[in-house]
Amino acid sequence: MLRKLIIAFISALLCTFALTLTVFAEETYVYDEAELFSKYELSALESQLAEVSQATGWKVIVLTTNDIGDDKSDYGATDYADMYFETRYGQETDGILYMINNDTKYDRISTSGVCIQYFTDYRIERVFDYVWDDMLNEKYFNAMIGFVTEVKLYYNRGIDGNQYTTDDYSYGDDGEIVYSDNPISLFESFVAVLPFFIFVMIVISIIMYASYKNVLKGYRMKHVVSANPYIMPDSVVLSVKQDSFVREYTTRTRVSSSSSGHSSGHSSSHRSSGGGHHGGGGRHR
Amino acid sequence: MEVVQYKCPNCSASLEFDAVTQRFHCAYCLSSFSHEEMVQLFPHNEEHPLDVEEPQKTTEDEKLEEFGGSNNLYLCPNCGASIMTDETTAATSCYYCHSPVVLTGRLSGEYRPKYVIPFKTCKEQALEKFRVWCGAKRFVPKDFKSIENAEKIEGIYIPYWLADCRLKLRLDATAKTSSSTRSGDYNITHTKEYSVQREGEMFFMGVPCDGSSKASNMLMENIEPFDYKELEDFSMSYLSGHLAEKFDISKEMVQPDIEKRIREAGKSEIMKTIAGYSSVNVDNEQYDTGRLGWQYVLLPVWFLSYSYKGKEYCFAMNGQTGKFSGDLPVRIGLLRTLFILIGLGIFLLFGLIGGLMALC
Repeated sequence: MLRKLIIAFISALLCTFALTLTVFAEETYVYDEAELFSKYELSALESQLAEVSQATGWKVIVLTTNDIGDDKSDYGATDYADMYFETRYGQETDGILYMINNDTKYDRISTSGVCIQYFTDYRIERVFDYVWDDMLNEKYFNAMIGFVTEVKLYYNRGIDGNQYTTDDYSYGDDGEIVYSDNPISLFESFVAVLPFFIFVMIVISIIMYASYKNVLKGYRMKHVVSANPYIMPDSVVLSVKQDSFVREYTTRTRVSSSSSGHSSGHSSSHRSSGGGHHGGGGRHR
Repeated sequence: MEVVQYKCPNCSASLEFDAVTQRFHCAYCLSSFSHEEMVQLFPHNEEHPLDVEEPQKTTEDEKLEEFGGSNNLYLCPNCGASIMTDETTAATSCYYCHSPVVLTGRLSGEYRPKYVIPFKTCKEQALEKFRVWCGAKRFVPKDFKSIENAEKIEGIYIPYWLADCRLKLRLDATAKTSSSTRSGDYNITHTKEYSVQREGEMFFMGVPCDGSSKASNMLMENIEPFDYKELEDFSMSYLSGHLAEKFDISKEMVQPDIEKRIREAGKSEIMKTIAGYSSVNVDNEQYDTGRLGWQYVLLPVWFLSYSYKGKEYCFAMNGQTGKFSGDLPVRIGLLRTLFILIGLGIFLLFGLIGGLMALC
């Protein structure tokens, strides 16, 4: 009896283990349709993505493709990435997908759920910046390791304090893109433009104050004294005129760049053809 | 001291120097005389020994001195009226008969200028410049424009010190050229550094500084330069019809200001030879102005001072070239209102643009 119980327990344990293995085996993070990665790279990348997915609770996915379907436009590429994620993980799942698009060369990062708030337009651009040299050099594995690094970085940084989301477009019943007429509230619009508005007003105030002072001074004589007119023509004689090279050096300074006119807290979002809510951004190679 | 007048030999009316014709005119019989003719007609007016023995003072003279203060009271040779001046006035006109008088003693000895530039512009030209200048300023009070301030404009010979100097200078500088390229998220700046030396000399001729404490230095410097090619040997007759001052600031007192101007001009001239660099930083500069040569001259200036609501303003025009400078009152209230309205307009405009940007 005891023996049977032990066998049953061990069998159950083995079944559970096998089931667990099956579940883990089904969890795929890299969809290498374009076959850009070697087996070793694939394994290593899967491992990295699994780790970051577990740490964040998100689905962090890499997709490579040579064919995005009939619609070769940027909208088509965007929807392909969105729907790829949506059909596998659902509309409400938190996640981020990097699509290496070797069809139209319009790479796309698609975000879903809470990742829309984490990955603002500014951060999406920074992720692209980080991986872009490798992408251009076709070092896809290195680029995707960089992608994982950036996902970890922004997960740890949390949602930007100034983050806000605008819904840019969705797909209508006939499949046509419908642009949002009034995607955000007036208050949100006000908050969005406030920093720019304050900056412009400060600049204008400074210019106006300077002009005001200048007008006042305009009626006061300006002191323009120079003794140069009293130098006799041709009397200037240079006995020493020497320019000696001393040294040369190079300095490197980091510059911040933003391709978006919005503030760093802005997340663009849209509706996929499946109706899911997605954020993200793209860049042409 | 002596008071002289230049009387017309034909009708005995006063002769005045006319800037337009550069001749001496009688307003009554319309006679006209050249400078050479004037010197021949009035040779005694130019002769003033350096050491004039002071006449024995009478009790009456002492009373006059007490009233006028240091020999500042004169009798008009034309009408006999008393003319009171301050200590530096060298030429003026009688308050009663408006005859021009020259106080010759004021310009004798060390006070006698070596050269003079006679007026080349007339009072009408100076008035026109002033009116045009006033008219172009929108914020000048209307009641200021309408009052007869401009009529008080006077032609004055201002005493000037002119300094000649050979400036020797040396500049040591660090100059850099740099070029930037963008690589990813980085700006790469390539800089080359050079050690630059310049040594040389130049000659300054006639750097001016006014020797009158009444004239504002800034105002007088702003109407420079004068064209020294038109300097004439000094003659008392040029002063007839205008006011004139003698110096009360010595050349030793103006020397530091003149040397400063010379150094700055010398440096800017040398800096012109350091070209092709993106930045130049002067590490060391040495100047030697040597011994300055001096000339004492009278230069022509149209001058107008006016008060408006308790504040003093002034206008000066170079009597030779017509270059002018000065101050004018402004309607602060109007200016403030206008700027508030413009600011409000821009604020609303940008509010609108901001709103549209948010909605788009």
